Amino acid sequence: MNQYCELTDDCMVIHIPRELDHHEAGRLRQEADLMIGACHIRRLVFDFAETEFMDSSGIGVIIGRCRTIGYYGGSACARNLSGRLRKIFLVSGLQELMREDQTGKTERKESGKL
Amino acid sequence: MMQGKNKMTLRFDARSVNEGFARVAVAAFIAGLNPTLDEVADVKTAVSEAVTNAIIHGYDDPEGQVELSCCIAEREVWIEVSDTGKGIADVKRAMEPFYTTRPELERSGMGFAFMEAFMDEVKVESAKGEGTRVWMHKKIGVQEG
Repeated sequence: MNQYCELTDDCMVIHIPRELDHHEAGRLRQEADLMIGACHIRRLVFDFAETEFMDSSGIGVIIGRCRTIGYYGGSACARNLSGRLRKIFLVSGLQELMREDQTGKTERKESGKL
Repeated sequence: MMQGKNKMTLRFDARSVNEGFARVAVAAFIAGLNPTLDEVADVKTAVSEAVTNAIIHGYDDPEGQVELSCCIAEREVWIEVSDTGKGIADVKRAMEPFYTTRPELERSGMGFAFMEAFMDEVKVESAKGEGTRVWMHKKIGVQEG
């Protein structure tokens, strides 16, 4: 079972964990890349609903997945950004790279984590 | 309001699991200054960046030691993160945004830029083969909103 990624009808949602730092980034990267490659993903949604902390290591892993989906001709967007995360997006320039989807809400279908 | 100075020092292995420990420890330590949530988040982010740098760039060996000191007084916080690892050949270059020596790890090259964005002052001293010391300062209670 996936810890972070959830497939929906038209996209893959990556549920960014409560804290995304260098320690957590490796596992997220591994799972996301496996899913993007295996499931022919074209639309990626980063959902920050649960995220309370993210540093530049988190920015690195998000930029990396944006690039990966870009190679496949797909697109990425961010959802449920808190004020703090908007600040992080602003400082890092990530807001230039990825649009924020303010319309949709994503509820995690599976409640359990690994 | 807290009276006088208060200092603490932590020493831990250069293991990524300690990144979370370090920033949470500092957040708890500065609670006495009555910081806003945003100020706590700023300090946690800066500590996380400095400690992650020490762990990733300072050592190949997870048993390398990272030292984190924090001093608070009145409405100010000073933080020092040091390692005795590889050191940085060109500090000025290392502090440029998007510059990284570890692109294979998908480092964003934003670590020092984040420290500078979220703290009032950041100084870095490093010597090749001797290690790196990052010193940061922030005033608490001056943020608006």
